[in-house]
Amino acid sequence: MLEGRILVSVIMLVAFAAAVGLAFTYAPEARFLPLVIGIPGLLFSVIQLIKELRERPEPVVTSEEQRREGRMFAWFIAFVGGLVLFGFPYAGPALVAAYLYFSGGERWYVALAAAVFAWAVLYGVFELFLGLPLFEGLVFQWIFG
Amino acid sequence: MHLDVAFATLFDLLTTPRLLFLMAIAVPMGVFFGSTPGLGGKLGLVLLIPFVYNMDQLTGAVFLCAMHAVVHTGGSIPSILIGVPGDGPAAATALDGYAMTRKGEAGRALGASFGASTVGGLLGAMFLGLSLPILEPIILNFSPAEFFLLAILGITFIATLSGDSFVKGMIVGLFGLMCAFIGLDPSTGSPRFTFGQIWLWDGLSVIVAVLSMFAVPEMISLGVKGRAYDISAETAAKLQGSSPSAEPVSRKVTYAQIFQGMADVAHHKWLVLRCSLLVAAIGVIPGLGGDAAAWMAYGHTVQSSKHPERFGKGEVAGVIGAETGSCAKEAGSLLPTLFFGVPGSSGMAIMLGAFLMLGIQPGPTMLTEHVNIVWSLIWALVIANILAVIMLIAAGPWIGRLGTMKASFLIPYVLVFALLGCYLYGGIWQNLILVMVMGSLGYLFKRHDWPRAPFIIGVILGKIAEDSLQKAIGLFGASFFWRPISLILIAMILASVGFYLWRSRRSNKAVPSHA
Repeated sequence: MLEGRILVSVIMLVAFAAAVGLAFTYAPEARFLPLVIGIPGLLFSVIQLIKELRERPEPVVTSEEQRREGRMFAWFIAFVGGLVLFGFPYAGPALVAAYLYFSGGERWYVALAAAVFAWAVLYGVFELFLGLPLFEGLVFQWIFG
Repeated sequence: MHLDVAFATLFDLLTTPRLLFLMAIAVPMGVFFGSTPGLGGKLGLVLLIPFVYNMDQLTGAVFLCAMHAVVHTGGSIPSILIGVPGDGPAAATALDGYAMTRKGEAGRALGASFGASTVGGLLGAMFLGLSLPILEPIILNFSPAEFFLLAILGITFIATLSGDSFVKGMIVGLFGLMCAFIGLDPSTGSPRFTFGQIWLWDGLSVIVAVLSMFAVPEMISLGVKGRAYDISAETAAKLQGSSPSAEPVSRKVTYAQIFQGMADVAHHKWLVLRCSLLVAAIGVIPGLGGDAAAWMAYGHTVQSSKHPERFGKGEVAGVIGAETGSCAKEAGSLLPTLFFGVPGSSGMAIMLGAFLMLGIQPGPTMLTEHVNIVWSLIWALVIANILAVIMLIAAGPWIGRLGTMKASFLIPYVLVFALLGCYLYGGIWQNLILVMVMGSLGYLFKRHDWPRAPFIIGVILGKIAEDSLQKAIGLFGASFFWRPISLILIAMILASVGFYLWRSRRSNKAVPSHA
């Protein structure tokens, strides 16, 4: 499996290569600066990748650390997914409560109070006070049109 | 000098209850973010961005500036009381501050810290205000050609100063510039890097970039570590001799001790003045953020002392020098941010993103059309520093309770509000998906010691660079490189790269390879 530091270099190399490749398909005026920036970026990425490959391997990450990272990424994806599907007024407080209860180890009434606080800020401050309409989520948009 | 505008804006600030109320909220928030190890001002700014969407330019900018101005004041509290720096610059304060706590002088160290940071903040703001008439003719002489080169200089500066890898800094900065090209090309109107997505035609929002690169990685990291702070090996080494120990330490803080510390600041008035001016001037250089400024001020304090052997063992001048430095540089770093669009530090990069979101366009127009905003920000720095010291003195004996918030409480709120901030920018839900992708990349950057600030600066400067280049070529043709100011800027770009190469060569010689 690729080491993390090498993976980052590979990601950057691929991103610059793709961007430079795409830039060649644009009109001359539109591709000028993307090429001026992209080609040095590609060269720096190659240098960095070579540097990373020649360096000593980094200390092995413990399985406990990997597990914690995986769990946090899962939570992050759950937050994004929940908010996209069910919107801020509903998913926001629910996610706060869920995180505090399941990951933070808080008691159910603490998690519930935190959720009520989140709802009060989201609805009270943003919707009522600031007059900013909150996203209601794709599911509710699909159901209610 | 716009004296009329200067005093009119001060009068407006002091007589507008809404602005005063918002500053009174912003200051304790800034102290809270600064005093909670692991959070800091950048995250504070990120969290407050959604709240300023509907504010007018002036109100939003003053609110954020007031919050950011006092972050370092708050950062000294955990440094002094528990030996854990609240943010990077506060590590210098911890050296003597925590040693004073161990000697039973916590209150005196806190008083010295509050006094020094307030005076430093005020002198820094004065430096910014007084430098305006000197800078005005220079800034107004800048043509698009110079702004293009300044954008390149900004990226080079940040890359050379972003840790130990110039290459990594350049890659991230250039990647930020590439991301700035997402959207419709200004000259042809054709879409670039939009992958057929109409919502990308307006380009990548700076706010989305900021929240992805700072809020998300910090929260994932906080969740992985499971605690709000992590002293780096370097800081721990510097704290040797004053490190947390098992022996009981009295953290009792009394009003008498606080006032004794403040009297120490008056006693070291020339030191405070020297450190403030030195660091405010250094703060103007993009990339020399708070960490460098605080250590430079501390270094100057030690060098200029008659008793350098006392430092690190609880010398009050050490606290005064470091705190003056970290607070005075805020005003200095506001200068390139406002007038050149080149952020003075990573915190200022976020602030600049927020300014752009509020519709404040940095550049010479800040001096011609929006000088009231410039002066309002200067006064906001002054008022915020004064409010902070009043609040902190009042909090006196209870101050140790600050900075004890559990990380698990913070993570869900920051994630929800960061994602809300991304959605509110244009009301585009797809931005949340973009944050998921870019936030993951941001975490990888953080995890593997890649600098993240150059990305934000690249995104901000990309649009300025492209717009300026097209105007410069239209005005002067390719000969714009030969304009006198352009030549100076080109020399500065080469000098910054040359300096980096010289520095890395010297450090390679100093540290023998074990390979």
